[in-house]
Amino acid sequence: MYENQTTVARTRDSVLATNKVLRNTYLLLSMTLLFSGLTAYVSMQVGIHLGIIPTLLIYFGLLFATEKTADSGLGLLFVFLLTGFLGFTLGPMLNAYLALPNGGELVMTALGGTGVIFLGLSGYALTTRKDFSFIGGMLVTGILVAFVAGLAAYAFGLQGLSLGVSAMFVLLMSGLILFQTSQIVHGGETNYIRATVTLYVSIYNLFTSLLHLLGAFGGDD
Amino acid sequence: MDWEQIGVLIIAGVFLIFFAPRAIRAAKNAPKATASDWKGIAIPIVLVILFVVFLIMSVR
Repeated sequence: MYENQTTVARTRDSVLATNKVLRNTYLLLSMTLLFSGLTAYVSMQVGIHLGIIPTLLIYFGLLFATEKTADSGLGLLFVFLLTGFLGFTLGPMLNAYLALPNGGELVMTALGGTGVIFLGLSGYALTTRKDFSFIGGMLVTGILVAFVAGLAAYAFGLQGLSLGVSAMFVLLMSGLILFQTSQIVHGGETNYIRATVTLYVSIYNLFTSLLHLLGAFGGDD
Repeated sequence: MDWEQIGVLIIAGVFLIFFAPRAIRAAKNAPKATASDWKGIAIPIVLVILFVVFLIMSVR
């Protein structure tokens, strides 16, 4: 009987801990999305384009710092620096798309589409409570291949490869949302800062990849 | 080829050298999936693909 009570208490504690991580993750995610929306707006007004190499170096530097400080309060500062910076890098891209004849429609469709995909996949992972840990290795390999292929497409100016990479990223980021949400639900991820960074990066890549695909296949020019 | 293209290729190379072994290890150590697991992930991914196609058609 004591054993049953202990099991029930442990299960209840585990559920409470999971709910706390979920609540903190979605709260921090919504705050970082709002903040990066603000920095994207500032970047659109200022019109600064950093270039790909400084962008990558700053991005990986901030990602590393966030990862290293995720267990302390300093992690919160770095998560806002990281997401604020990523929002800032969206400015020149948004300006370029908004200059197209149907640019406003493309941006709003990509934004809405990203929201629907994120909410749909999160809802699926949360309600079915399926364990998607088996796709972790596949996601790491896929993201590595897509990232390197994306850099090669940029360096050699290969538009077709670049579109293929965007299509790959839509699928990989969809998988990453399922994986990360399932990790939180099953107690595999207990740090809400790390969970927020993963979900934010998924949303960011999903949005930019969707925008690229919509611009290429649905643009007027 | 300008300095920026060379720099991007160097970053790609460094990234590949640094992360490829980790990716291979992660893929090898991933839990084995059942047919039901694959079905569970195929449904939402197919829905995402159909939704993206719908979005593309809607802006054409």
